[in-house]
Amino acid sequence: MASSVQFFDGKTAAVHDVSIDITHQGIRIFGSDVESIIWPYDKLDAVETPHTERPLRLLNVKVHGARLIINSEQDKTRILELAPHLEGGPNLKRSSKFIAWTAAIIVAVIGLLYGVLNLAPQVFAQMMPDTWRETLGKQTENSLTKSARQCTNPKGQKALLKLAAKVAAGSDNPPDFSVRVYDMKMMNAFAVPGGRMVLTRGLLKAADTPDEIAGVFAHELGHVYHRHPEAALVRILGIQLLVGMFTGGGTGQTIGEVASLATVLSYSRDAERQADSFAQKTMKTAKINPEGLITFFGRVLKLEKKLNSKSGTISTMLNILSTHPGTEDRIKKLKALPKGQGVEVLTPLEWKALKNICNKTRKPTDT
Amino acid sequence: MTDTAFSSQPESVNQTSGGSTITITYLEKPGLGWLSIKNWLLSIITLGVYRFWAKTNVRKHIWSCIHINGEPLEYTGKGMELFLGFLVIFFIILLPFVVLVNGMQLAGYPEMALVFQLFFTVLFVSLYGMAIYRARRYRLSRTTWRGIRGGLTGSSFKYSMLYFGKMILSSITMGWATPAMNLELQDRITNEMQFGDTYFSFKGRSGPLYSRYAACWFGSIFVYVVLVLVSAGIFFAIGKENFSAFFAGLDDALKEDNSNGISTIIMFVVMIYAGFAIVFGLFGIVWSFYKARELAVFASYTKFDNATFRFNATGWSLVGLWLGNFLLVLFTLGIASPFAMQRMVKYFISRLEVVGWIDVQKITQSKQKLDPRGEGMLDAFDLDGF
Repeated sequence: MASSVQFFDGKTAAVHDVSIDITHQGIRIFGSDVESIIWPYDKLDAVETPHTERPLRLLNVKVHGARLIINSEQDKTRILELAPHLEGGPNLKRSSKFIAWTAAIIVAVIGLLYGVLNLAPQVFAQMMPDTWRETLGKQTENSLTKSARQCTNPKGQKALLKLAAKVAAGSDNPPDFSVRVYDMKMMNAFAVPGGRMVLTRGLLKAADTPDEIAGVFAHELGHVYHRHPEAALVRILGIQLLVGMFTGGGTGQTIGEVASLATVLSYSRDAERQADSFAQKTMKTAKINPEGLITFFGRVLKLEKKLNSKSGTISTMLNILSTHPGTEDRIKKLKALPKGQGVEVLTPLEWKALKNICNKTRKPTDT
Repeated sequence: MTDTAFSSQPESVNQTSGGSTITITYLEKPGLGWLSIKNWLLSIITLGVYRFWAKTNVRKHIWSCIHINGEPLEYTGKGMELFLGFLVIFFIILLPFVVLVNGMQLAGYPEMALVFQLFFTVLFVSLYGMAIYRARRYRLSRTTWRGIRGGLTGSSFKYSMLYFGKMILSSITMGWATPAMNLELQDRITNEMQFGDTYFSFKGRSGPLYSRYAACWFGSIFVYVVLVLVSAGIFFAIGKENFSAFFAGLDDALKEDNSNGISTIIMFVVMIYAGFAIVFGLFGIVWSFYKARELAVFASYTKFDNATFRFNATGWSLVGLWLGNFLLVLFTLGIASPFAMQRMVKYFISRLEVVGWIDVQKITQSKQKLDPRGEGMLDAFDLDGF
């Protein structure tokens, strides 16, 4: 038996040929150049899971670096009988520990995601000092309007302010805001940080009545009210951090970027719904006819259908990814409102002035 | 005795020298396939957090296949150590970086943001060597043979300064300082490396590296010229009109309302990746011949006790190793990366020879303290040998 047991004492790399006694107290190790010692079973651990074709390699948690290598099958069987914990394998304690850890990690990851994507953006957006919002707003507005000119026809500006004031009066707690029209062909309206709103000439051109513009404005005011633009920026920052953390800044980067884009988009859909419901409530209180917004959406829908018939599935996919809720959905929600007698938002003369606001333009100034 | 291949033999001591010869073998064990799948699945479920434990499992398996004189190596690292190391780096470098740079941008000081970005870039680059050194130290201290562990006892800061110096000198000299500086780095790290309490030693000059370096340097210039000529040839063969028409088409494809553009975009992306693969592949092949030379020369300069090392590396075998591993990882979406690591370890072991003798009996345990943290910094830089 002596030749089949080797002992390393953890002090030198020398091999000691030893003999062992397998007793109920533990394994007694003795040999010509090794002092007799006993390794109790509860201090034993297997270096790797025991295997019939390989020697059993044992360590003692109390003796750093020491190893006992058992080659004989009889000895291995005996030891495993007396110290079954060495087998590892499907062990209730170990597997429950593993499951608990995995669950804890998953919970922590979900908590982290919730905090970074949901909680932190809302909190920080509300806490953000006004000077920060201002600079952020300026930068964002500049980058979105690029080199477009600002529309400054004074009569049109007066009409725009009147329309804005009428809508804002429908909210019991209207946020501070500013609104500008840019000489851009595309049809668009957006809110950026700092309560800034931008309308385009294309949008004014496409609208038939002031009610339509009032509806769009009410929607954008909803974004300002909920500070969605500020929250979105904080969220992007958080996502950058998360992607870095989970992927270690390496190969997962591209996957992470796609994931983060999808997250930003889906959060925007929530924000659009919030802004829609703000618009509904505000217009109701301000007694502005939602009919205008409905016809406007109807026109957008027709345009979408025209595109759809041309390109089929891909456009449907783009729709799913797009930041706005489905147009049909939005019309449905608006129709549910009682169609009371609406007030006149602008006089025909004022409406004409607003439509012609881009008769006079100037380079954007830092306002 | 069950199987002589797996059991440790007392060295047949050479009576005249007092030491024994060393043979290193790699004996494959079953279980790596299952381990690969398990690691991959758990990494996905935990959004990548499991990667530290995955790395540890793979190392435990591969280390235990490496047998020196019949006795396997043992990897004693823990996943938690790597995770903690990563957290430390995350909170002292990555988090302040992202928060400061973006915060300055948010607060309306883009110039300050730029200054911070510059500062962190310099910090990252100058600490690159530190990351390499600390990762090596961690792995050595977690590797044991016959219960005796390895170690690295020098200053990681000094190493990182030397590494920084190498990067600067190499770029100033258009690469010609690289062999000399690589030798300096290898000299430092090898002389500070130990097994138990015995140091490795490294001694030699960079002269023998230069003939091969010159060949590869001019070779890569040649490849560069050929690539430029071929690109120009393709450009003229296609014709200027078709060329600009393609880019105009790409411009159209990128417009929001053009949904037929997707295929054009995909084609373009594939072309870019194929281009990169060709360029990197060609330069990689050329420089493999230098790398082979460097590995062989460095091995011959290394000594431990009364043994020296021979490493029989060739350029083409390195190309085969890297290309094979690249394809293996690419086509299995990373699931087989433990097998790629095994291939690499097997390559090194099969070509490494220990010449001379080592008095194994006299090697005593390392007195180095064990650093409880893992290779955090290395993970942050995402470089991984094995």
